[in-house]
Amino acid sequence: MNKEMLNNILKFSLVLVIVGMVAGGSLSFVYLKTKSKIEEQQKKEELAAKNVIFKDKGYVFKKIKKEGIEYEEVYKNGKLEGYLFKAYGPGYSSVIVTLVGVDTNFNIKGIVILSQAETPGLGARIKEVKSDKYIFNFWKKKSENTKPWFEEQFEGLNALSLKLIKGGKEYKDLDDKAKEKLKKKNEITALSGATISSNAVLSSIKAKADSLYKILKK
Amino acid sequence: MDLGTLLQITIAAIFINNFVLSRFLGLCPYFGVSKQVDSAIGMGLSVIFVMTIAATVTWPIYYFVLKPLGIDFLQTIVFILVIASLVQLVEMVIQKVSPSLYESLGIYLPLITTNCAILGVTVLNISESYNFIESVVNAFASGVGFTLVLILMSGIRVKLEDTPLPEYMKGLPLAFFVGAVMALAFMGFSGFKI
Amino acid sequence: MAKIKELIKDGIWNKNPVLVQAIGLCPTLAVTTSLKNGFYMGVASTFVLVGSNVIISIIKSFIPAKVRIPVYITVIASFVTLVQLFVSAYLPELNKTLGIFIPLIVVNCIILGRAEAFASKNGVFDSLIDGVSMGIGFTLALMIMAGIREFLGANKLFDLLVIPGFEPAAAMILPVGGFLTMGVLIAIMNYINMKKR
Repeated sequence: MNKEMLNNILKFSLVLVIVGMVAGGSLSFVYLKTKSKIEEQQKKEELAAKNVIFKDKGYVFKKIKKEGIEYEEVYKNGKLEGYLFKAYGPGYSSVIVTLVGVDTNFNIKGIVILSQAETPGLGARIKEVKSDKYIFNFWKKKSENTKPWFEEQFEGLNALSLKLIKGGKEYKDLDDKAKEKLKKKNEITALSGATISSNAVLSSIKAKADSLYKILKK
Repeated sequence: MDLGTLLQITIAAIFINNFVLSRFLGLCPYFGVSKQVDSAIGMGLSVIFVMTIAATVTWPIYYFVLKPLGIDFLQTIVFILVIASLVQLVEMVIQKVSPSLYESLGIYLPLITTNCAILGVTVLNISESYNFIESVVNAFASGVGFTLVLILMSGIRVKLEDTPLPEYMKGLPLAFFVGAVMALAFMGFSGFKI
Repeated sequence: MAKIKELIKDGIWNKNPVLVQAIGLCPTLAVTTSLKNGFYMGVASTFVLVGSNVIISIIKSFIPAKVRIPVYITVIASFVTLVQLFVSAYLPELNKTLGIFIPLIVVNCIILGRAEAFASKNGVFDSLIDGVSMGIGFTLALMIMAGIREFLGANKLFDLLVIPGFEPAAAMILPVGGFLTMGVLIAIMNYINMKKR
């Protein structure tokens, strides 16, 4: 009885070990094959985000870490043009990571939300693009803007004194005059029903810009 | 240890990001074991138990074994095997130590291996980069949240048992509509901020 | 040939994993916020289902009955990890939206269920067909759900607007809408099957 049990245990573990080894081995093989591609993908994404923020060519980025804060200095033709940093804001159901580019006066050149996992239909709309492509004319290539409207409204505002307005119309539904007005007042419209996500982006940018500003002023 | 963060994690896991109603994890037992209040309580307690232990075990495995060796891509496979063997182990221990507890929980334990909430909580702990204590608290609170809605659900279903409904609406469809109303109710918690 | 027909019919309609057997509900409700997500989740799950079905039907005779579940889980988890690696290497956008639900394909009861109920008792070819048809059934159910929710909740299908001026009810994309749609679909399915009898 005991010997049989021991035999069984040995047999079972042998089977499990073999299965485990084959599985682990083949996965490692695939991992090594895809690893460089995955890293390349991540780099590409950040590079694309940088290009959205600093549109023209010829910008040079220099990584810097000062007093525990990581940011990048942006140069063009040897002249300091601005800064680039990442802001992390705890949203509704995820940490929202935003890449922010500012000029030397901390006026925002542009922002790109790099990662978020907010609620679809509410907070996830921080990446919503205003679209006019209908199912019955999808083949028409329209000169459609591909930038999410929530990101777009940050452009040109001052990072240090951003304000959120809640409950009104969303930026995408405003006319040009109202947009101008918002810009003057340095205000951002919140997503309807997703104040927490909107605020997470805004206050994380403000906080990071603030601490960076203080360090640079010293 | 920052107690505020822990409290925040707890409240979020139980009410705001409730596993069943907002993250959609653990739906099979939510609909399968919610026909009676007793079995709902049994299932709920087993889930809390296994979830907490699973988080306690998988966190060190990830940070002390998988990460240093650079094989964190094997996370899924390792975690699910750990959970499967853990469930088996827990079953054996309970059977030896407390036969009465085994009698009430025993039948639910094998079902737990394929309960996605368990694997879900361990994966979430890593992707949210919680530290060890936060992971355990999050797992425990998620289990409590799961148990809470499971018991609520079973109470409602028992009450609705005898409602005169068209035959095709009885059972699952009705359970889904109750689930919808509960999800709506839990959305009210989303304003919570500590 | 008749058997193949039978298997395909089972997977898509008679034993549709979601609408009839009501398993694999978690991904069904969670990722069906848009047709695109539903479709990709269906394809990823089908790949895992077919792969694990085939492998398990090949190795079934070498595996002692007592350790079969851990072995099945290992096989399934390996395929899931494969999907994970491929998606993060070649489809980074998808990786972001499906996120946590890719590793959770492991615990999708459909896959372990088919391994246990079908692949462990049948030959390689039949298991392959079973995996494909169950996968298609799952994908179809996901897409029906996702279609209804994306249309009512965002006035969109595959990210394209549908009716000009239609004001969508965002609640359909929220968890509430998922539960409602699923309840209605299962009720309709029940109704049709009862009428037939």
